[in-house]
Amino acid sequence: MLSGDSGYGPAPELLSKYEHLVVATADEGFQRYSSTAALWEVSLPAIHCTSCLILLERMSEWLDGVTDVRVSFSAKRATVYFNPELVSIPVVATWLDFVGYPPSLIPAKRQHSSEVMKLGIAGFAMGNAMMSAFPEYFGLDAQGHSELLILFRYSTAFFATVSLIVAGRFYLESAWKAIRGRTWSLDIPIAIGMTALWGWSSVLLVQGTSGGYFDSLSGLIFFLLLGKFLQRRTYAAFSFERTVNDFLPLSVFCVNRGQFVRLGDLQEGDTIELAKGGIVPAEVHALSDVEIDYSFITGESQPVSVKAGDTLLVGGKILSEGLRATVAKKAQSTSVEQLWKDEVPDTGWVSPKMTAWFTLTVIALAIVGGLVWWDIDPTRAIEISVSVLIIACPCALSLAAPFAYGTAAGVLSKYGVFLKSGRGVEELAKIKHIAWDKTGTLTRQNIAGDLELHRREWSGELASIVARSAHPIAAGIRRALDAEILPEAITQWREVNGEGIHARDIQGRTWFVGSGTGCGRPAGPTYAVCDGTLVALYRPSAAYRTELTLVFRELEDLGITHHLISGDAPRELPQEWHASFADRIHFERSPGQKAQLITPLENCLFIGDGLNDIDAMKSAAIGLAVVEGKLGYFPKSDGILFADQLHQFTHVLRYSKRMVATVKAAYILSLVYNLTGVVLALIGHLSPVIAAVLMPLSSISVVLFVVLFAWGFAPKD
Amino acid sequence: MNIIFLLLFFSLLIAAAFLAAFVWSAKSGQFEDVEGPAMRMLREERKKQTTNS
Repeated sequence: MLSGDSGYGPAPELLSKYEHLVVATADEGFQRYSSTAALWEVSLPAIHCTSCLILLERMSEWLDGVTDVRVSFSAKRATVYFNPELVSIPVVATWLDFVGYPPSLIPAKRQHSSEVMKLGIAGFAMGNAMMSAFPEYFGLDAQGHSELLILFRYSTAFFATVSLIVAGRFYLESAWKAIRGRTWSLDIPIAIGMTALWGWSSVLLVQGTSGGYFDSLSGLIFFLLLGKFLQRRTYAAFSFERTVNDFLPLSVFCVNRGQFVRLGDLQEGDTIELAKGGIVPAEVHALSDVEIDYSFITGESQPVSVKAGDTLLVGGKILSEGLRATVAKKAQSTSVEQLWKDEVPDTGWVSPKMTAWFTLTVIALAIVGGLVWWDIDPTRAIEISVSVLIIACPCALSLAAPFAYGTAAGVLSKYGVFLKSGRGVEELAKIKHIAWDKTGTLTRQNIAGDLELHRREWSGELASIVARSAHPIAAGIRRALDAEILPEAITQWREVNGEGIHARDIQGRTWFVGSGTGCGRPAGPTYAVCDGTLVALYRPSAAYRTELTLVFRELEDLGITHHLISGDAPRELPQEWHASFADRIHFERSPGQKAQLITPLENCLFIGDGLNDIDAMKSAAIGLAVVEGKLGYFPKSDGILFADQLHQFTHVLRYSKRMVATVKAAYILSLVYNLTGVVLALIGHLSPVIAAVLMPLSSISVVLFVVLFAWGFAPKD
Repeated sequence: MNIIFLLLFFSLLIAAAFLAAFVWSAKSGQFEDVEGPAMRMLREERKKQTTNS
């Protein structure tokens, strides 16, 4: 099915990542036109340049079955037209991933063209409203041409009303929703302004006193929408780098139904098939013995052997070939995804109380201003109130923090820290204590060990044997071996759970790599035996990350106190760490005790490695999970931290502190904008149209300010 | 004088026609990707494109 006979192509394991897309639906962008024509619209966040577009659009030349590809550069999406008889979505997805554009499987909202359309209509209405308002400005006099004057006035009113209904409706609806939900939204002042302007103008129009402010109203709507449009374009350019990838399965092969089934549709008693490397999607009973790697959730890198009939927990990674299992408990529709995703709803950066306070102040100011002007010049009172309502919109205020922290979270990924939300940056800046977990955090997760190689000349064969296994010990041996893999050398290969690997090489020698019980030797180390001759001996060990010594010192200089909180038996720490931890070392703590130790610590960061630490992560102000090599998901953590970049952790904190300062500066900047604007409006120097132009400009400048600083403080590479 | 009413009517008709053309182009997705076409022209050999959805 895959094109190219050269063997060049994605690894078969990659395919398993996308296998569930066999049951892709319209929600996932799949549309079938006929048995030979279908399309798949997919989000490819990696698209960034001209070459991307050209490579992807030539996909039909390098993948059989694809008829055409259209890339939407702005949306970073591609529409793949293909023949479902020749190629399937999983294969397309695998190839896209292979050439460097991993599809984002999180359903993204499609961009709507309606925004452009509304903007166009608002522009059209404004142009025509202004045009028909001109004659009166230029002194068309009511005596001689009264019917003309009325025609022009009413046509201005008509265009402004169309604009209000078609384009300005968004503000009115949003404000109405907020009022009905008894919350204060920043759209309320704008909506009040628009309605007041329209109502007052209508009164004037019907009375025949003047044409009202319909031209201003249409201009106001147009510039508000234009500002929103430009803002969104600017923000899209700064769109945050992806922080966390979602690798979770969405559907699984169900044997008794003979098809892929969505996780939410799994029923108790269904038999499912899980491929090697797959993740257990629901609580299941294994139908055969199986090796499970729970490192995603427990951080424990030693695999666990599970006997047939035993229960497998959600999140375990299957290390054995093709496991069948019966579903013990119906999966919560998205329980697996929920483990990683936040259960706390995002309350927004500006608190509801602040929004309410702000909205009320603005409305009060507008009323007071209007009343004062009613005394001075009644014809301008409404106009001035509206200007106040429009210019005071604290959009800049509400944008500064999300943009600063969102960009910062992206920058932090260069330091190996991937935060779930930008809010984590704010928390990191406040850290006073760090509670370190021992296993996997202060020690290495990847099994390191001593390899005694007795037969160096056979190390190539040994490397080839262990390289085929996903077992952590095999991986440890592979790393310890300094040998090239000989792809042709191994003719037979079989992994026995809990025992080891049996293999035969091309010269007919039998190999065994595994535990002592598998080859009749004393238990303990892992043996590699070839035809009864001991080739190598491997003793796994957990070693402390001594490179952290310097990090501890640097962090102390930032005023941070270190704590060690571990569930393990006491073990001697490296000598140079004693000064950093002093008496704050706690071994043999249960998960609950860990949490108790952390709770009294204010602004505490917990750095641990998995499920054992759920309570600790929850009780700390912020919890980070340490990852070595593989990316999984970590319940209750606020982010993940790449182990090999732990030595840069001081920079992470320094950067976070700088970003918090930047946001404070941006707040002051935007307050200055708003105060100046309100004062100018109150003394009558700002018309509603100018206010509508200035408002988005101030927002954009504040966003530029924080984003440029976020980049400026970023590491140079 | 009446000629002004007539002129106004015709100018609005023309404007409305352009508005209709704009609404059609926005609805058919011509504004969805404004950067892509500029890059697409750099492609060397062109082949027949399937009609866009």
